[in-house]
Amino acid sequence: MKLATDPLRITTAAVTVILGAIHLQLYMESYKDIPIDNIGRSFLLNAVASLTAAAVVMLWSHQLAPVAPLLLANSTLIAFGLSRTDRGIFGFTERGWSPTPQAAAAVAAEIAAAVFATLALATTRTTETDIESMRS
Amino acid sequence: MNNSTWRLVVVVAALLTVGATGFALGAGLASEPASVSRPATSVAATSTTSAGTSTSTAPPAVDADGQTSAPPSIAISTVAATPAGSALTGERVEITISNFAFVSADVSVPAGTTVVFVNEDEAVHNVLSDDGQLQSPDLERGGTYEVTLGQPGTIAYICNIHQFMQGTITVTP
Repeated sequence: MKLATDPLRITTAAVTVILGAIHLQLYMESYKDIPIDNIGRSFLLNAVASLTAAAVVMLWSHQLAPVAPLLLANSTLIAFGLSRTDRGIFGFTERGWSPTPQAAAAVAAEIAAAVFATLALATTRTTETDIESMRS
Repeated sequence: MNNSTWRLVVVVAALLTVGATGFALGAGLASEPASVSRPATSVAATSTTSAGTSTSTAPPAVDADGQTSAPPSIAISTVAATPAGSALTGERVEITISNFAFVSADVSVPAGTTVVFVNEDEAVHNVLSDDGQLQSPDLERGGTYEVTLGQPGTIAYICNIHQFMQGTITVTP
């Protein structure tokens, strides 16, 4: 198993770790105390999933590897959006960019992870296609 | 996977990213509270007892650049945490908001006591009661809300952002 050297994969992994770290910090700080079981657990799960997705994109050379952080980042963005609706997520609601500054920082990291993962997907294929055409 | 299938994967990934980003940013901006009490400011409300009615008034919103009519932060002179249901005799009583809970949530105070809520959480909270005696703006970390309670009775209050956060204040004559 070889570490990725593609800058897009490395950047994707880095921002994915950051978004997981923010969720872990929130879990440790106070979200573990929320008396809605799924909420506290989902913050912890997000941290574990982020680390896993970052490892996948760094260690798995398959062209589909960036899909892991892509799905994680986008599902986290959707969960953030749902938590700002009247119904919330699992009945849990938040407002605006609270908690400050973690909410805004997490959203920024999630958007960056999703964008870089998409770019990594696109350029991975291009590179392989170029190599194939050079061979032929 | 052939090239056309791969292009489809990339397009779906891009659309998903654009959609999720738009949804998150839109929801975050749309749910941003209009008024927020930030640290170094406090918002005061006073209840009146005439004719069995109770009114609560809160000054306008406080914003970050200091455009506010709210009084400056006050020095808290009484307990930070008290046993639930205990009777308190000070003129000012502090209820801390910490780890998504009011501490102490259930207190008993004599009429005329000023109750001060202090948000120590990173999340925004507020304090509202059905009877309107407690009507705080959203409190950021360090934000405070104070209310002077004059009418004996029991006031049930919640954080209406996180409605599992509940408490009661019993005001004794």
